[in-house]
Amino acid sequence: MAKLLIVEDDKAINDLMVRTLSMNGHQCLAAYTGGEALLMVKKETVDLILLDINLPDMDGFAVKKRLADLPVIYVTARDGIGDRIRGLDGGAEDYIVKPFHIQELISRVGVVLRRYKREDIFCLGQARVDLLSSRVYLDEKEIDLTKREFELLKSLIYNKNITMTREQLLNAAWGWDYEGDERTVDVHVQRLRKKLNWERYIKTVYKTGYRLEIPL
Amino acid sequence: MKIWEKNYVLTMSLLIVILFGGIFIIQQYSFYANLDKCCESSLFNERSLEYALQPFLEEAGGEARLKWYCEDLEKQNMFLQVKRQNSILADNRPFLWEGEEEKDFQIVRNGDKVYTCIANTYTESSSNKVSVIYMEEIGALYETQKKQMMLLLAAAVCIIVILSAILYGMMKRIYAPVSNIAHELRTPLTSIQGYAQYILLGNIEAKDIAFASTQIDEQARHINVLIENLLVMGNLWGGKIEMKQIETEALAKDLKGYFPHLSVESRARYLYGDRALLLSLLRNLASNTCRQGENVSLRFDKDTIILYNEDDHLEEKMLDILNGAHAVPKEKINGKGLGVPLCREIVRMHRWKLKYRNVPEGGLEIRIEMPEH
Repeated sequence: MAKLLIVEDDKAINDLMVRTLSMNGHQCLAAYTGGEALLMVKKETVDLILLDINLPDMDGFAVKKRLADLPVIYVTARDGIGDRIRGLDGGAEDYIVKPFHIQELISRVGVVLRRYKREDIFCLGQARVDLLSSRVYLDEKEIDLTKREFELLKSLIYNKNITMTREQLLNAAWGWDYEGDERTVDVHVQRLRKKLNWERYIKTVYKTGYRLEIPL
Repeated sequence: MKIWEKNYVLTMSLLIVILFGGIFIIQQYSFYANLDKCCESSLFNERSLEYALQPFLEEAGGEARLKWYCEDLEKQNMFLQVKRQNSILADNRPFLWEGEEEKDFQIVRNGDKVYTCIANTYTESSSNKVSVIYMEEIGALYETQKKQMMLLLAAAVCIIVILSAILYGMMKRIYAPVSNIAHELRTPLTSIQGYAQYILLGNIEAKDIAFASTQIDEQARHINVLIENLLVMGNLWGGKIEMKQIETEALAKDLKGYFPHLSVESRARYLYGDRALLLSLLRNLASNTCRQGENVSLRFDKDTIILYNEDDHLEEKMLDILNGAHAVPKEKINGKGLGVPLCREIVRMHRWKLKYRNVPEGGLEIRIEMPEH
C-alpha cells in the first residue's frame, strides 16, 4: 500500500480524503498549507501527493514546482480549462475537480499508483492474486478463473473496503454496453467466493452490491 | 474564456461595429452632400463662363484676350478649352479629357488631384459650333473629407477605449461574484457529497458514521450562511438601503441567538442604518472572529460598533489587505467565503468605515465607524 500526502486547507475535505483513502488501505498524511506539505516531504517518503491549488500561504502550482519529481494529483474547485492545462502541463498526473465522487478519487489514485508503484501481487486469506499475469492461486495451487470473474476480482481489489454497486461491477467486467441482468454479477461473485474461499471477505451490501473487506 | 468575458467581447465587438459603421455612414452621407453642392457649383460656373466668353468670341482679336482670361481662371483652379469648329482658341487643361458626348459631366481623378469635368457644345448666331470643356479642381473637398474621417476615427477610438474600460469594470463587478459564489459553494458541497458517499459505501463503524453526519450537518449550515449572504448581496446589487433607526438591544438579542457566548454592551440606545444589512455585517464579522476563540465582546457606541476578540490576531499582511481598498485575494480569505467582500460592500453602501487592528495588550479589534449619524 502507498503512503499519500493530502494537502488541503479545508479541514473537513482533508479529513474526508484521509478517511476514504485510509479505508482503501493507504497510509495518509495530512497537511493544511503549502509550507507544511514541503516540510513533510523532506521528512517523509511519500508515493503520491493530492494537492489543492488554493492554499492559504502559496498556490498549489508553486508547491508542485518545489516538489521535484514526486507524482501529484491536483484536487481543486478551480475548474477552468486554463487551470487544468496549467496543472497537467506542469507535470501533474491528474486533475480532479471538486465536488468529486470518492470512488472516482480512489480509482484515479489507484491508476497513478499503478503507474509508479507496481503492486502486482495481492494476498488475502489463502489466496494470492497476480494482477499482472492474471493468475490466481489458492494455497499455492493455481485456480481457473474466467475472464469475467478475473475482471470482477480486479475491480473488487482496486476498490477494497468500498462498496461497489452491481451496476459498477457489471460495467467493470462486462462493459457498459452489456444488456444482461445485474443478477449475473451475483452468480459470478458467488463463484469467486467459493473458488477463492473468500466467503468472509466479500460482503454483500443489502440492496446495493458487494464489498471486499480486508483488515487494515 | 469565462462566460462574462465572452459576453464582454461580443458586446464590445457589436459596439465597435455600430460606432465605426455609424461614423462611416454619416461621413459618407456628409461627403456626398458636399460633393453634390460642389458639382452644382461647377455647373453654375461653367454656365456663367459661357456667357463671359461671348464677347471674346465675337470681338475681333478676342482670341488673345481669351487666352489671357483662361490663364487668369487657372489661378482659381478652373481650366478651359475653347474650340470653334475644329480650331482651338484656348486650351489650358491640366490633362487630356474630351468628354464622351457633346454634353458630358464627369468627376475625373488625375494623379492625386480630382476634377469636375464638363463638356458643352453650342451654336453661335453665325452657325459656328463652339465646344467648351470646363475643368475645376475639387481636391480640397477630398482633403477635408480625409481630415474629417481621421478626426472622427480618433474620437471613436477614444470613445471605444473609455467605454471598453467602463464596461469591463462593470461586467467584472457583476459577474466575478457569480464565479466566486460557485467556487464557495463547491467546497461545502464536496464535503457533503463526500461524507454521504463515505457513509453509504464505506466499511465504517458507528463512530465514523456519527463523525461524517456531523460534518454533513456543519457543511449544510455553512451553505445556509452562504445562501443568506447571497440574498443580502442580491439586495445590495439592487443598490438601495433603508436608513432607519435600529434599536441596539433588539439587535444584540438577535446576535446572541447566533452567538450565545457573545458578550454585548449597549452604550447607545439607537443606531442608524439598514437593519438587515447591519445584522448580516455583524454576523459575518462575529462568525469569522469567533472561529479563533470564544472570548468575544461587542459594544454599541453612538457612532461606533466595536467587536473585540481576546484570542484573535491577524498578521500585518492580512491587516493591510483587510484595511486597504485592494481586492481580497481568494487564497487569503481562508474559508471566510463571501463574508469579507460582503462586509466591505455593506460598509461602503452605508458610507461607514471598517477598521481592523491588533490590540497591543492582545486580541483583535474590529471597529465600524458610522460618522454620518
